[in-house]
Amino acid sequence: MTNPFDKLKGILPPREIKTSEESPLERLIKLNRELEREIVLPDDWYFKIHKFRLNLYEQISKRAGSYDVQDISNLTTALSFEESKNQRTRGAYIGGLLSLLTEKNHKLNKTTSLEIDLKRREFPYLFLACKYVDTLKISNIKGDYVGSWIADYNGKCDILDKEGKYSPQLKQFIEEQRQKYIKHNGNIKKMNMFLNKEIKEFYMSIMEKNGKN
Amino acid sequence: MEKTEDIQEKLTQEELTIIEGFEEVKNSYYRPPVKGPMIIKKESLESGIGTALFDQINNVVGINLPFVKKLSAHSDKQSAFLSIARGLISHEIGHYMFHPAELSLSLFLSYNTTRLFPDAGGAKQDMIYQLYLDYQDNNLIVNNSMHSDDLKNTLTASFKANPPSLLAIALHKEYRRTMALPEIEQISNMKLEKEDSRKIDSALKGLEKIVVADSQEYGFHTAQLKIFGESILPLLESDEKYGGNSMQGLKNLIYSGAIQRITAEDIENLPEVEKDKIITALEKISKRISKGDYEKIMEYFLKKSPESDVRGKGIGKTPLDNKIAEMSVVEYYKTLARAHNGIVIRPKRISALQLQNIEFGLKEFHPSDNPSRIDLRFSGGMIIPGLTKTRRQRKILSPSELDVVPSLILYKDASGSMPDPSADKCYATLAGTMLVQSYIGSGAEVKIALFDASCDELSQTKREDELLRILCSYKGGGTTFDIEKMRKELEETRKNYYMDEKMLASHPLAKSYMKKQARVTMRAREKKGNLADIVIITDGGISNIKELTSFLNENQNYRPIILHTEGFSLDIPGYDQKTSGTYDGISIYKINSVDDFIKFGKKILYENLLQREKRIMPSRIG
Repeated sequence: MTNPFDKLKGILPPREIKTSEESPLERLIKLNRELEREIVLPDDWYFKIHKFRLNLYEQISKRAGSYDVQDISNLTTALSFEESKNQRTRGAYIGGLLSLLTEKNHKLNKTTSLEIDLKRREFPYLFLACKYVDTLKISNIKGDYVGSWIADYNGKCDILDKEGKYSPQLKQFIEEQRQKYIKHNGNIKKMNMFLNKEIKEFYMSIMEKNGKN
Repeated sequence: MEKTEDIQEKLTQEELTIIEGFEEVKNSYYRPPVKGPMIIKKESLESGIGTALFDQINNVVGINLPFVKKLSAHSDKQSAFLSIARGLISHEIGHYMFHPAELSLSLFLSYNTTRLFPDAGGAKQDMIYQLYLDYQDNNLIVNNSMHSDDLKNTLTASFKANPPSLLAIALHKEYRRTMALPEIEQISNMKLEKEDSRKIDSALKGLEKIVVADSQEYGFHTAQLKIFGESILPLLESDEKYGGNSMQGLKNLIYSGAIQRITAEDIENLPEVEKDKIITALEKISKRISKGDYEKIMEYFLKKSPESDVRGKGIGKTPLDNKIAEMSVVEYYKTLARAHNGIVIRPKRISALQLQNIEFGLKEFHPSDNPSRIDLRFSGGMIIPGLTKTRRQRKILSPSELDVVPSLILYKDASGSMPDPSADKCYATLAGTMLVQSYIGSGAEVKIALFDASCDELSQTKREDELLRILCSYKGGGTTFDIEKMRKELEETRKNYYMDEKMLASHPLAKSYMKKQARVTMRAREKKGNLADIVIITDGGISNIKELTSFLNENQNYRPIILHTEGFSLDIPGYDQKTSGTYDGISIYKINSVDDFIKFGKKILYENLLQREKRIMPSRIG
């Protein structure tokens, strides 16, 4: 049966619209917005981070779908250009993506390496409390608490390098202290607590040496 | 009718074809409000005017006639001229419909191109920006099948019409991958050095990562622009080596000239009306980015210098005098309040005269009296002059004079634990600005005071800007709690390993060391009969909260509201620090995210300012 409207010249043929699948980057940006709204880490987050992380990681593993290291890097760049309304969740979310990917890769006997250069842009709380990290290099970044609590609460980290003036010294120092402490006491949580204090003092001594406040 | 024919006679056949093509394409896009076609007859090498353009400020599509002729000579299709014109027009309307669609996104990407590629120089930055926008646009047009065959034909012709360069080869290969462009002998037969082939392959790997999307996500597109620029930049540098394939030659291609990067000079040369469009678009950006980034963008486009005097934030130990905000800070918060549609004006009630019966008020009947007021009870149901009475009435003015506009008394916490409005985007200040502008605009009295360890006297004026300058001021460093005492005592317990000031402030024991006081002074007392919305914006930790609540509850005409943000606790009976509600006669709105400031600010405006109040006493006239 022919279409009676075929005789009309002005009617355009149906358009073939390609339905494109949502890219991982778009999906991760959308998820970030949702999680920023849903999960809030209060101001006294120091004491609540463990529970918060459990909840956040559960949500990410359920909803993030598949992604790779490049997507995390792109996501970090993309989010660094827009203001966050919940900076802690945003920073921890990116850390969660990296941690869950690292954990997944470990099961396949692969290591995960990520380098991020933010070109002096601000990204407070980036990788906050990221649980599992193989190699992470963050350079040219501004903001409070970047990389705080990485590998804390029974996490694991091989090389952590917040690239800066004192990073090689700091890295060496962390390793020395880690080894020293492990020899004396195997409790990882206590060791991290100890390291936080020692790192701060170490930084201060370097700052004083260089005549900076 | 004759006139139309005259005009048509004056137009050449080619011009008529372009107009026909424009109408056809515009219909396919369901007639968006895009004007045109502006037909440029002069041959030019200049990007845009020499090819085709889309003026994003006026929404006009322009087509260069000699350029269409030039491309149609390289097309094998039938009615090549019309097809090329349609392809070009579809591409330009695509900039309106798909990408970048909004002027604010164009401005944001223009600015970030200079930030991301500072060493590339203006010409290369232009190329990266234009090519990225065109790349997204072309792919979206093909995905949505909007004259995609015509666009493919146009792209192929433009590749053929220009001498091949490394960039052209890479882009052609990429378009072949994404939209199946036909092969071009001129490009495929070109012999390349090993190094150049490697560069093209590397660029193609980068381009493969680009996600095509018509979203209006600023960050998303900036990240894509970064990948795009990093991929093609080595090709642009290589192209400079070859005389025939220089940047000038590349400018005359369709894939690099449709929509131009916006610079400060462009904006400076715009007429005032068009500048306003730019300012509106920049205001839109303010919602999505930080205060610092916004100031940088404003400085870049409008050459407005940012605030330089920035006071340190955090928990201070010594009280400081108020830092009075600059007008530029006030302007920023006014812009934000506008951008969030946060200004609400209470409509003026129209005054009307009404008549009210006076109790036992009767007068002698007079023939000219209103029959509805005649009382026949005294004359046996008949009108008998001397016996019949008439009811007396009085005029009252209703309701405007009796309509109570509540006054606003705003106390804002400006202690060290709150952000400095001059340094950061402070949503508490934004909420305050929304309230002040709305109440002042509605003709209400507004009083403001800042507090930390000490509370300022309430300032009252009818000048909006002066009130906002007080609101945007900052005490910063004012005492919030005795940090040294707390640290010492905690150390004595030997339970802490290390704590910085921020950690100490969040410690559960911190509230025992609070010193912040919101002292509501006697001057805040309102006259009886006047409603007063007392709004307190704080992050908690007010030590004299009991004194405050008893003061607020003592007058029924006070409507106290506390916007409580994360930070310290607020010791009000029944309030669990989490749930918004009315506790001890005070409405407490718990702020969990910065969006809540805007949400609750609007709630106060709708529920308090716009609410129609009952009149208290009717007044008499005459």
